[in-house]
Amino acid sequence: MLLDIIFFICMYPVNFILYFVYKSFGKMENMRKKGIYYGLHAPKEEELREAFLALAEEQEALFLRRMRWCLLATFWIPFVNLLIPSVSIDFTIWMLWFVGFLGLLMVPYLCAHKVLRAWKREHVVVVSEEQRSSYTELHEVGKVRRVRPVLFLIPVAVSAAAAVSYTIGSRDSYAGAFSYLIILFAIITILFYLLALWMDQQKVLVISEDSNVNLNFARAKKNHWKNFWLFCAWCNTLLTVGFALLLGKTEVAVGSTVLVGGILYTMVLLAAALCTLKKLRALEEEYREKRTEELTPDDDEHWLWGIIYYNKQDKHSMVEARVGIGTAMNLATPIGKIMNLLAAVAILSIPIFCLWMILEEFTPIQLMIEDKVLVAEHLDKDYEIPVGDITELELITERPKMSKNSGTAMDTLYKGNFHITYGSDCEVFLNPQNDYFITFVAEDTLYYMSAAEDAGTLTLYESLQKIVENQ
Amino acid sequence: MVIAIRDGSEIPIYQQIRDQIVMGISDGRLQPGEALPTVRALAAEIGINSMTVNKAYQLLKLQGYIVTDRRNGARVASSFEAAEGLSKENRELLKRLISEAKLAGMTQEEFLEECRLLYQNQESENAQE
Repeated sequence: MLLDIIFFICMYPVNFILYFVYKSFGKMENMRKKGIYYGLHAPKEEELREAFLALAEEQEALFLRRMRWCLLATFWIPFVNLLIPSVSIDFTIWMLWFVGFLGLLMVPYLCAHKVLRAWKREHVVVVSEEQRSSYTELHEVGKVRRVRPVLFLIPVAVSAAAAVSYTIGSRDSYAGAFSYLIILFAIITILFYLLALWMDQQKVLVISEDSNVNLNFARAKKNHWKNFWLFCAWCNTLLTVGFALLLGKTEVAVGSTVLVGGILYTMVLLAAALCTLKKLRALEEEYREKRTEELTPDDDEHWLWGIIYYNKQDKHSMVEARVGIGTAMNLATPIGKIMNLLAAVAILSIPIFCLWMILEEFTPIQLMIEDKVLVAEHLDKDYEIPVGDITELELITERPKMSKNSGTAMDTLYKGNFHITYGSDCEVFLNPQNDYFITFVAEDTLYYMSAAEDAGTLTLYESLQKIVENQ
Repeated sequence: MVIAIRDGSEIPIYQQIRDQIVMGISDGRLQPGEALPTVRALAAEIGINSMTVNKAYQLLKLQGYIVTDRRNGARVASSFEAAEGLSKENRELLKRLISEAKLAGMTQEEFLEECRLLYQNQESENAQE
């Protein structure tokens, strides 16, 4: 239930925010700022342009109606999910709902795009690649940069220092287990810097014949992005330092710290992203009148669904995004291909992870003795302990309170390295819903184990006791 | 100053760069002594091989439109030598233009008037700068 509430708090509002953001992408007033309608350029000829815009306005009404239907079709699912007791099924539905909702939100946009594209194919003569020009601003080439390494040096250094001091300072494995988390966050600070640097190197977009307009637009835009990434880097640094100070201390509740920190962090970054989006929209609006339409080449055929950019002729790995604001990758370039592959792996990993979670939860644990070796088997052989090494064997009915350092902690399965509250670390392999557990020490390691059911645990305890007594 | 590159054009890209820089100098968008971008930076910005930009700069330098030195990079020349007339290549180009204008039905007067107007336009643009 707690996990359900956490998911609900974290994911449900995010989806609503995304709904309004996606909705804004398909509104005529926003699309006019860029001159791109549902991923397509309006024709340059006056008559055709008017007809195209009229059709786009018709599509806008349909788009908004379809968006509302998408919301109606999905908003109730998380409420039903609250009633499901299984953690893995719960998690799977949440993930599928989240990814499915994001995909579904694109459908109204793609429908409008399809209609406009078909109209354009029928009525507009496409300028061939040979006749099309690409424009470059000659003034200040390579000099319109806003990201200075010194700005990011402090957050990167602080994050790194927090991670290093925590890793070196943590002597017990309980604290040490969080080192990975803190190092990961320190790396994310560096990633924010690299992202800022990469976006800063984007080509100056030619929107006017006046160089001052082009340069000022590029400077303002890059400045907004630099501020956004810098803010992200500082937020990440604060979280890294916060975790380094709090995690690993026995008096601090680990789960609540990570949860509250994570939620706050996500909310703040989301607010910053929305704020940047608003600023960039205002900038687009400010420069709308200054744009020279002729300088925007109609390269619609390089944009799959008006969203994905694939152009072998273009050597730039990053171009201005058509939908929304920001940048889009050119998937024809090596960097674009790598990023695309990583994104595909990330998306594919979601169902794989869900499947693994379901298997973890629903595969019963097995504890048995094979050739005087205690074997603990779940999805794999997790522990193989020679019975001869076992000392201090006990049957207990009250399991000490413990929290996970590494491994799995579900309602029906505790597996891995755990920390006993106000105690030491131990290796655990048990069903926490049982009443009987066995505990022993082998090679200076404390173990808590059980079979899938109490009967199995009791039988195994008797067998173990006999063998240990005979030794 | 904005330069337009047409990938599919019969005119090689280095020639397109060269021509547009010359036009920029002529109409005042590029001032005498003004610094030009480095070969590598311009190639990255356009998204072409740096050898292509290098070739355009070599040509401009050879023809006296730009000067280069190791410390300051490439700059628009401060002064240009007065030529006695059109170069051989440009004379050939003009011949081709006259032929095409004739075939398109333009009279000599109409052609000269068009030339005069274009020349005046550039003069007035320079004056505005």
